[in-house]
Amino acid sequence: MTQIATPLIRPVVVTSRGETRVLVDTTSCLLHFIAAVSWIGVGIVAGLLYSFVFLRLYPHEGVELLSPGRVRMVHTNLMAYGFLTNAFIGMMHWVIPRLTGEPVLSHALSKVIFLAWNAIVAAIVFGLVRGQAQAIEWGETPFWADHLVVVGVALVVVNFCWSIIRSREKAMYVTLWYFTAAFVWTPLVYIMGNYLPQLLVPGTGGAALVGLFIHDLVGLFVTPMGWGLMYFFVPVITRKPIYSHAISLVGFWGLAFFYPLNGVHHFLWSPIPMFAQYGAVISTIAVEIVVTTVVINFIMTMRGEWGRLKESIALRWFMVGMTCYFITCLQCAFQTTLTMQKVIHFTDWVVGHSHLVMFGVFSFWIAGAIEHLWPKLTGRDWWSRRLNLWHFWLWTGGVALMFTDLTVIGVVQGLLWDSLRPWEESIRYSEIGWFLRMISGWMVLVGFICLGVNMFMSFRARRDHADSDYAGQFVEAAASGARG
Amino acid sequence: MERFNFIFVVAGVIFFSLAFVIMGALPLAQYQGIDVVSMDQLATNIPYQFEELARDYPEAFEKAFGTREPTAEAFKEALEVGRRAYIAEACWHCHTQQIRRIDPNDGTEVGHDISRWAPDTNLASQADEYHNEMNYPHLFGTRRVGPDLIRSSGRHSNDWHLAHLWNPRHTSPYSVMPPYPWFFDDAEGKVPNQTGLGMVTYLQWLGSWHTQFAPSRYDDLPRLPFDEGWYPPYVPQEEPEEDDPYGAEEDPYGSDEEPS
Repeated sequence: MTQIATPLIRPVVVTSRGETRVLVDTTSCLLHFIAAVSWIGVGIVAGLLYSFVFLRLYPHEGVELLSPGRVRMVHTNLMAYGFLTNAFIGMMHWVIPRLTGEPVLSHALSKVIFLAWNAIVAAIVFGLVRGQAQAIEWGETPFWADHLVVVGVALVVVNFCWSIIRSREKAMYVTLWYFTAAFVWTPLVYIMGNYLPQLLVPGTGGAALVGLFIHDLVGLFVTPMGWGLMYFFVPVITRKPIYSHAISLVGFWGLAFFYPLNGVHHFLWSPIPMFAQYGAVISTIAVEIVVTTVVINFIMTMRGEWGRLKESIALRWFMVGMTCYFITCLQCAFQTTLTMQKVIHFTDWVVGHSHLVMFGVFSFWIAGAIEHLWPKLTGRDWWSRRLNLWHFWLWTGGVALMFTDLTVIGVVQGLLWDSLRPWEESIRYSEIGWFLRMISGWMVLVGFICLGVNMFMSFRARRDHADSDYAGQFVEAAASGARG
Repeated sequence: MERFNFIFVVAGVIFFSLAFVIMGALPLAQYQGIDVVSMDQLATNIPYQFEELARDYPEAFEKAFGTREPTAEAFKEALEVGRRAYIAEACWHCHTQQIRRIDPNDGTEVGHDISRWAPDTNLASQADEYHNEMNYPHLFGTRRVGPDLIRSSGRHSNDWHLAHLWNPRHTSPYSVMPPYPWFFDDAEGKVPNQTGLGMVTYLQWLGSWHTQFAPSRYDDLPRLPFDEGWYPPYVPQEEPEEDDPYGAEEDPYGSDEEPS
């Protein structure tokens, strides 16, 4: 692959079809990362505010627009649609053209998507604080905003799929399998979850669909994006191909088959027919087996490379995130059993579980991607390695504290309810846990400030530089892995 | 297997559709042919608490619903308003509306839902309780910071609910629930506005289908015979006759009186 040294924003390369064109739209990449980090800042503040409610310390008591319930929905929706989605789009702008050797459909369209998507996220926040929420978990986006989201997602899908379809590369790398599947799943999941229960299917039948939506948004949008990211960045940083092509096939197809079947496990013991509940439990346990194969694949890839964790903070994010992922899925295989659900369902155990997966896994992986890419986007090294280390340890400590704490008080709550003691007792016994949860929230917020300051200072001193990444060799390595 | 088209069609479309059929369409098929209960049908069984609201807050009631009479039309409007506020304030993120089919008496020794939330009827939530126009979408909930609400009808009085919404600590000292002063028109929490009245109506409606209320004389809709309605009236089971063949000696809990 011939590369021509050019200024920062305009890398010109020869595509897989031999044309000389701008391949990677680094501006979009940069913009989406900035947006993602801004939204997660707002989202963390919203989550922290919400944690005050449980200590009866809410600062805006009686202010309608900042009502805690609305702030909670702002928290979750900003994480899903503001932070994760922006970060994944930015990351795909970097990854997909490098793997396919073809630019996206239109770089102008990418800018339009950037503006449109963030306008949609702002509209969602506006709608939520105005009290226009929709009663669908993870999909509280006001119903009028759902139409905009669908259009936005469709544009993203078309923009990126163009690059994959036109590619003349011999091998389609694992990352692209995950992205391709997610491009089909995400719009289907969103339409299914937000439209059918609202318009066509009431009550219990709708609950089965909402269960699918809650789970599929994590499993069929966030998870494939996250694993695609891991499959790209871990080999790039370690400069080693993935250990086994066969195991990555097992991991992908296992996930594709079992993950969509999990949804109903969010409503076990509900009036939803038992055959669906049993099926959901069994396929949830199957997912754990699939996840184990993927984790083994990465651990074997890291064999002999663990020493790099001392140098590369990005790799630390990926590995800690992967550990959290394994814990999450192992926990899932046990907590989804009907017996355990009797105690832990509806408790803070579930809240701890969701923070471990959305924060401890996917936010960590994105932090790793930003850690790795920000110097390449700004053309200079990080402003401060010390701040990055603070960010890493504060977030790791924060999620560890939050998860342990919520899991423990979750069991306490479940057993207290089970003992039929007065309801207030479960609240009084939870207070210490809710206090520790607030402390962990502060840790996450301070960690975020470290990241934000560091990104800002690095960006201020950015330099034009040649885009000299090595996607060519990387794809060759992947292809040789496919042969071997 | 590693081509765009194959992944797009098999993993993307086929596997997703398979899951949709098994986990979505098949459960839906269970309710095939059962009509969704309309708001009009729901308004044939108006909880008496709604009439109390009209009686106790006549001015607020008139301002909110345009009439001083607790008519079916006003009831439907109040339910809609209450449900909208229940969603907007994310009540459903801290209160569930679902009694799970578990009970320590079923032999597994864990589980509490029926004993705690339905001690009177002993009924877990049934699918048909949700098969009505108030459940687009359902409000099962996934977290229980506060109590379950699906049987909250009649559990507390209207005044209790209004005091609770004004400041939850007034009625439940350890509650962590936030206050909702914007459900009221005045600065002292004495006059509920439309949202407040709607919220109380909604809370008093949840679970009211287990009780059959006397027809309201203000009803302006044709009444439907209840057994053609959507949920059979709850008939309390009669206590079994006390003709224990083994006599009082076998009473496992003992008796204060000596057997004669």
